[in-house]
Amino acid sequence: MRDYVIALSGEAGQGLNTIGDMLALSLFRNGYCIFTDKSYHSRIRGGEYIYRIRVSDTPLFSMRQEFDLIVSLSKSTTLSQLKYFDHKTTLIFDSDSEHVTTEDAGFEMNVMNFPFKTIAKEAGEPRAQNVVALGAILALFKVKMEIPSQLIKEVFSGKDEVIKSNLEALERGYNLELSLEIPEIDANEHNYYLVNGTEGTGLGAIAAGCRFLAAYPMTPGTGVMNFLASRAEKYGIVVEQAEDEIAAVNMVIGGSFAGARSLVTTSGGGFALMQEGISLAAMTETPLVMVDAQRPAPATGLPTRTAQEDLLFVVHAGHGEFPKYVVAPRTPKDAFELTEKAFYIADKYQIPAIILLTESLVDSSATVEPPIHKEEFLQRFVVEGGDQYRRFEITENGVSPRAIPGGKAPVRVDSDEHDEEGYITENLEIRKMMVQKRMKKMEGLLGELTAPAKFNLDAPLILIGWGDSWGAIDEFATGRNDVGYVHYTEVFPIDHSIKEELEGKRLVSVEGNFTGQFASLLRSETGLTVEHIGRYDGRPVSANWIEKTLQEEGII
Amino acid sequence: MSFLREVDPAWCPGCGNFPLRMNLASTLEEMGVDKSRLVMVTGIGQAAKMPHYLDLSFFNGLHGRSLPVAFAIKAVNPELTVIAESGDGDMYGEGGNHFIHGIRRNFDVTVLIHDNQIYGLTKGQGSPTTRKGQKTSAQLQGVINEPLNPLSLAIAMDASFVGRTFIGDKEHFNKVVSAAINHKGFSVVDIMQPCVTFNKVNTFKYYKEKLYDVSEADSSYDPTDKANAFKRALEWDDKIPMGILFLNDKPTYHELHPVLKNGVVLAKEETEIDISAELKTFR
Ligand SMILES: Cc1ncc(C[n+]2csc(CCOP(=O)(O)OP(=O)(O)O)c2C)c(N)n1
Ligand code: SF4
Repeated sequence: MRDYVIALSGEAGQGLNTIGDMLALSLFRNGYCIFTDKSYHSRIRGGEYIYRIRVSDTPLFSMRQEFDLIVSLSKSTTLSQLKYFDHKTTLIFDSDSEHVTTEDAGFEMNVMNFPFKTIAKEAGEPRAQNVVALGAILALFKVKMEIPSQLIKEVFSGKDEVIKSNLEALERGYNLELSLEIPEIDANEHNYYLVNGTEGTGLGAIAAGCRFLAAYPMTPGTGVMNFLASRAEKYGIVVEQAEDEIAAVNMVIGGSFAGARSLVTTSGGGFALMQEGISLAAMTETPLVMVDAQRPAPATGLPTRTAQEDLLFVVHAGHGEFPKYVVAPRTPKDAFELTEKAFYIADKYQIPAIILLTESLVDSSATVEPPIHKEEFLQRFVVEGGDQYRRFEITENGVSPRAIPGGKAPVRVDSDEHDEEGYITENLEIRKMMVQKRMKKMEGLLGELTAPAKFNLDAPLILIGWGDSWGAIDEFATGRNDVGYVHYTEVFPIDHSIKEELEGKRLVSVEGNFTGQFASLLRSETGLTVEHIGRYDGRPVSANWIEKTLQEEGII
Repeated sequence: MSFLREVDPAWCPGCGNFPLRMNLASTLEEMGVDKSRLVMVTGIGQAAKMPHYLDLSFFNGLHGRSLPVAFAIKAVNPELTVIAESGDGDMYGEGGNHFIHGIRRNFDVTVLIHDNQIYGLTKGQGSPTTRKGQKTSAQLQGVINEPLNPLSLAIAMDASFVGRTFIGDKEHFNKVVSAAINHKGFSVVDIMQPCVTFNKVNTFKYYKEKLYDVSEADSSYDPTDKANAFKRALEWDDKIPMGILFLNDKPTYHELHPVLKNGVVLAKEETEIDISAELKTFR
């Protein structure tokens, strides 16, 4: 596997996102595999904005920290990135602007400079300095000119003058001929898709037939809300911006009660407010699907950074005892498929299903195989109801027949403890039976789980991971004999069957948190001894971070 | 079609919830509301127990949260008639934010508030509508907060239907509540009701003496005149206005919504979804 990491660095408002997207998409359409991520401050203008693109010949799902090439549009943001330079890193800057020097860096750097601004001015669009840079990088990768030209026409469609000057800027950049050595990376015809975690989740929701979404904006959960809003008319979806998270979750419960597949999205702080709703869904046995895109918390935390800190909170969310289903996708493809499954499980068992994302997953685009849409996941398990209909009928598997209002039978649902018909009861025998009925679903639910990903379980050291750390763990373990891994996406309930396979191994979980939350969950569920290493600086786990930390801890 | 269920409601003898229940059941009957298309959404409290004593579909959710649930039910299935019902603590206290935003959304729901000016189920604490100075189980020296005036609040926000009625006047109740149910849009009905156990101030007699109907008192009363309606809504101490105080004919949420205005029923099940064209845009 060969790879190359390009970083675009500048300030929010300098158009880095547009140019980063165009660069990533052009490389992708030319046949390369791509993984991107973004590092930015919680600001609309100014502050640091780093758009990283990792180019490879086979799909990768994590970032390498060291840059091979950094294109700098602002001195100050580049300075903060010096720790990610190594001896091979080349810095390209605009010779018309202030830039980082060897004295600033304190080490010898490979630098190149071009008068991007002047060239853009000559092309007739002074603001197109980033398009000049785009052209230069694409030429380096021998990307066919038609690809970015087409993108420019799409991005600026309707503005002929702007298109003309940008195409000119692109071409001039293309002709700059950077004299740089890059590894031979194969570009191939492929059947891949370029999708980020937000899009994966949103597409999964559409595929699952989600027709109602309510949310109160909170980064990084807002993306999924915006994604569905942008396609609302096309797919007949109602997206409501609620007055607060409590309203949002109650709306989604109402929507689901009335028969529409419904979704609520948020991030940790908002999820905290939704907990009474989770209990309500559990008690009324109303399917509830939620997205929690994690950011480092407590409280408001770091809005634009990543973490895996909400696991135990989410697993234990809501008061009282009841079953729930929690998934943490690995990749954007996985986000699609698990979102579909979450809707299905929520409907089948009439329980809360929670999709735990991370900022790094929602903001990262990856080259993925086409996600698999399963028509069987559209099954709703809704009954007509008749004369004898009882919403909370005690059944063998704990799942009662769910009818929706407006049909043949009245549907009575209550948040107080209730009898089979849905009426309030304080009869303690009935109460006991209702608890048993609800908890009974756990057995069926365990049977729905897919086994965790397993790799090289003969190795003496087994890493344990969950969610989007998979790309980094897989990359680190691949090619090593001494390390294997087990990686989970269905994080609650946990499949116990793994216990025998893992006995006698040294188990170290790799997590985006301080306390090793998955390690303690696995420990409490299986009794296995699990150590952990954690990253909690707000950046995603990477293969080289794992290697370094395992070495520091004396584990390898 | 009877909306009454044969049960023994768990309310104190003499509670205003009893006549309210009878009035509501007969209003629904007289209106000929289709039971299979009716859903009642309630919060928590004595008032919120109502659907347990009626025969209809209901969602008895959380304290203060009936409106978000009611909104979504109506959004996903516009064919349903949705009534949200609860106490003043529930609707104006814990649910105050949702009340304000419910008015803003103007979705087609009828909101019935049992305004007994006290918290019943939790045993007599002050509610947002308890008058200043009234002594309660939690405000032993008397309430010091300004009471909330739900009608003036709703009128100030241009709500589409604002009314008040009284459990002791069956005919009046029927008139106002049926108009509210027939009204297209967010209809607020504040229902004066005594709590015989915890509120010794706002008794049946108290209401009986003070309440008057705005259009009976003045046959030229124009409920679309906002300034005048607002003035009326501010009355309290000597005379308390009731009736249909304010009407504001404006488009509903469904009529304005880019998706819902086409009459879609989101609750319809789908068995086939083709996502391939959408996926292709990610190549
Ligand atoms: C989240 C939450 N907080 C508090 C309560 C306790 N509680 C139950 S009913 C109620 C107040 C009810 O007052 P009101 O809405 O005026 O109804 P009433 O009982 O007077 O009819 C409260 C505070 C609760 N059930 N849930
Ligand atoms: S406490 Fe008050 S509101 Fe509750 S039932 Fe008794 S009288 Fe009615």
